[in-house]
Amino acid sequence: MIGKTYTILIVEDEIVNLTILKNALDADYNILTARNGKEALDILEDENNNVSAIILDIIMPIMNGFEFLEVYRKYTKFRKIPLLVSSVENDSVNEERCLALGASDFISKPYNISIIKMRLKNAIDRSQIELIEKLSFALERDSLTGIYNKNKMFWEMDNLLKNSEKQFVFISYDLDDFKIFNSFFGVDQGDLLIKAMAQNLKQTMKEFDFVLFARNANDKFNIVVENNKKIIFRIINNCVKFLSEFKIGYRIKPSFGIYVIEDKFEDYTIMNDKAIIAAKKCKGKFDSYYNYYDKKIIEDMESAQILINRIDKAIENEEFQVYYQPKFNIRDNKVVAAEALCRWIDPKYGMVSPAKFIPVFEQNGLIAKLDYYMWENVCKHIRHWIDLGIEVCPISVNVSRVNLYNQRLVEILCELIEKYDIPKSLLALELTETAYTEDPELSKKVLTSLKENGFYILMDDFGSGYSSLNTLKDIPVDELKVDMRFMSDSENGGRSASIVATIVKMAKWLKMAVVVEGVEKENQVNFLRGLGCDYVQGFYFAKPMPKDEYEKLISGKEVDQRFFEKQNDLYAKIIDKKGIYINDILYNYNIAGAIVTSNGSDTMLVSANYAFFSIFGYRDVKNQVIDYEKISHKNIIPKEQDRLKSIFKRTILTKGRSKFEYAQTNINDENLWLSIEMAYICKIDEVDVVLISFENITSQKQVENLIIENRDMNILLIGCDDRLERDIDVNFGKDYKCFCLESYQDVFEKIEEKNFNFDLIIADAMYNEDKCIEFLEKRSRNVKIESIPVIISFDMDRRYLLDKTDEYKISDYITVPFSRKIVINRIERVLNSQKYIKNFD
Amino acid sequence: MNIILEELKKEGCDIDSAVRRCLGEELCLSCLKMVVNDENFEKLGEAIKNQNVKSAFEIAHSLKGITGNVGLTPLYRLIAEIVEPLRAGKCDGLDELYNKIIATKNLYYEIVN
Repeated sequence: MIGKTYTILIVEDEIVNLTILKNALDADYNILTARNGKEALDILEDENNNVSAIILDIIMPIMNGFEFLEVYRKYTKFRKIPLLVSSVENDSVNEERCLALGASDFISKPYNISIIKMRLKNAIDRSQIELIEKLSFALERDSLTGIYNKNKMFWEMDNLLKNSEKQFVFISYDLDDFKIFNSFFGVDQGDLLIKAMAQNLKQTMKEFDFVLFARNANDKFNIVVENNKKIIFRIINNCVKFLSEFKIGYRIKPSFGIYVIEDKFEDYTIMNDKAIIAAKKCKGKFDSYYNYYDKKIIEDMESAQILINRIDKAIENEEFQVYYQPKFNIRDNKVVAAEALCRWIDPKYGMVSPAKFIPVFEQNGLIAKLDYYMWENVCKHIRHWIDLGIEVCPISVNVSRVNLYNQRLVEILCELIEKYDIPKSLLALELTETAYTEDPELSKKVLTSLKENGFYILMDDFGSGYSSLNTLKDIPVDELKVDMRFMSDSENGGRSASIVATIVKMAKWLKMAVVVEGVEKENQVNFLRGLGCDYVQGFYFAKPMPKDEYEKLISGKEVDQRFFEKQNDLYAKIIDKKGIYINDILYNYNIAGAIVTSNGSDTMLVSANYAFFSIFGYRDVKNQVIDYEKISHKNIIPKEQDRLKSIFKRTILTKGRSKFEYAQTNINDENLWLSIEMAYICKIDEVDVVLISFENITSQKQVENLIIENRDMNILLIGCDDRLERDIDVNFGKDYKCFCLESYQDVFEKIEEKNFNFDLIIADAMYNEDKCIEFLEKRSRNVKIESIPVIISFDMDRRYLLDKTDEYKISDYITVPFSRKIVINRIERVLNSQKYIKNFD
Repeated sequence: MNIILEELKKEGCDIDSAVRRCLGEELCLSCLKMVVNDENFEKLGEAIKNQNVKSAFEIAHSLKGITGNVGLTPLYRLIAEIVEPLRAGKCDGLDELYNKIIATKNLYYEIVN
């Protein structure tokens, strides 16, 4: 220990004992002394904040140890100070009595200094843990009002919502003009108001069960309460009444937003957002105090708010994904470039339409963040492809209007190019025409600078803005993009077509490249061919696709997402009956899927996509023989087979869906963890059709297992009797696994086998004294084992072993015959101290 | 080692432990002096004579603690022996044991002084 951090109080009437103790502990602790219990109490009254531990003699004149303990126990403010009782050795009767009175541990006379030091340290460490727990309790409370804070409330909501059948509402309320109140009366008065509001809320909520409430921030409070109009109005009325009386002559008005919780698993932040949105509706309205969240009225506002709130999390969780839509050379249908598009795949809501979130992010500037996210990921992917030896085509990324105002734009892009060490020619930049026309001067400057730095620039949506064709020659871009949608409003077909035609021709005349996007139909392709257009992009050629798929496309591997059709007839019938739905699932997403039928006795794989076979280890389905028997039966252990069968049956019986995880091996006999979802489709020709999708979660599972393995806490018993093992299991089994060795044979090998992953070793020194000493000696030469605390167990005839505690770094000892309480207490102290060391080292 | 400590060691005292406990011979010696001069040895006799069990137990218990700490092991064992009947509330028939305690204490007293 460096410096004297802790002060301890020694209560002892015998001057000899006191002198020895003081002398022994003086180096590590500040020491206060008392000669009897009464003196001790006086010191604690005085210095109570400074005393970290008390060593108390049990037999003393004027208030002995027991009397002191009785008093001490009643004083809550002392109770957190660990107390070690000192008595003569092997006094288990007194020891148990003291533990019952709240003593932390016991030290015996004659003193064993190293044991005392160890126990004192353990007791203090442990009380520090308690202190930390107390601190974290403080973190759950709002410091101004003492009621729950938001985090704690959200935490508690889990229990409240998920353990109750009742329907609840989430209420958020605040004051209409708290800022004005503050500037009017001062911040102190504002604080007083908030405190009083909290008190009033607390008072009101006492009337009801199953409630939660918290101060969210500033003047904002949250309530979760049963969806019962009477209760809700009582809460609102109480609050309104209280506020109307708070400052005479000054009107304070709250606005309550009430959100009825339909889905208990909805994100609480979103519930809160919804309640806030609802509250906004009555803000500033003279006598409107509450408003229910109404989906229809505020849908737009809501989603905008939710999208904004989610962007950081979404970026963090990598919910935004880069999709690539290839551009083709219309003459030979070869991929020449691609546009990177942002797709937001929300784990709960699925694909969020870019049409929905891009405008929102554009409005509030968050788009700049998203832009950067896309640029970086594209650079990463390009780097990856280069490393794979794939010939990479230029990828264009969007630069949003707000980024034109970013003075560091060029710098940022150059940094990315440098960071991923990719040629500039591979990262093309797209800017919309409207962004350009909004501030042509600035745009020109930025684009010129980008061009000078070697970037290739595309002007997106050309023709949608108001650039006169005349200015085209002045715009510093390399390529124009025209959207084919000009042609799609067929009413006006002729005219739109001529706009496209004009742009394409003029671009050619200006020697600018031009690409037409949004090409969806064959007649459009023919039209463009006729025009002499070079490059096209659109669904007719390829949809935007995830990175892996695009990678296959450019790496020359055939991307064929068509089904692997085993039974064409049946499959055609299914498609016929369920339309494009099934097709879509397996075709459009990169999900491994299979269609399986059952006639009640036999199941059959009708078709599956390539992703399915790839999960099971097939790399080249077309040229490999598929061993269906192997992947569907042989490689699954019988128990799991039964489970699969019963879930399959249930899916058919309930015509529902089931999701679950199981393990099998792939065709190379490697372990495979799968998350699979079965969905009932229909019944055709007396057979039930089920769609099964597969997700490979092997690496996920491996990481999980690794974490679990590292997390587990173990106690090793060497040569101890069964009773001790049982006691440990009963008392610590929840957190610790108990390993028992009958003897010291190969003990080191066995510890090493478990990767030294033990939190405590309890070693018998009674029946195996010599072996134990040998073990301790060897242990002191092995750093990894030495860091595991050891408790030795022996009978009092071998108390001379106590002299070895220092030499062998023994943490503590237990004596035979065991007193269960004392043994458990002792082990607990050592484990807690170890936990403390682990956490704070 | 100090000659007094050597002597005590010859009498079967666990001086090594005591020195370790006291982090040195010096403190050990001064503690030993305090113990052999402790009035509680006499008070224990009076309490037994007066059948004051509670007091006798407390005193014996205290003496057990200090004699153990300074390593006067033979004396410590004798006191430990007398503590048990006192704890059980018995004061009779302890004279012989008490006399042994005083004799042993006096022996140490002679050595220490």
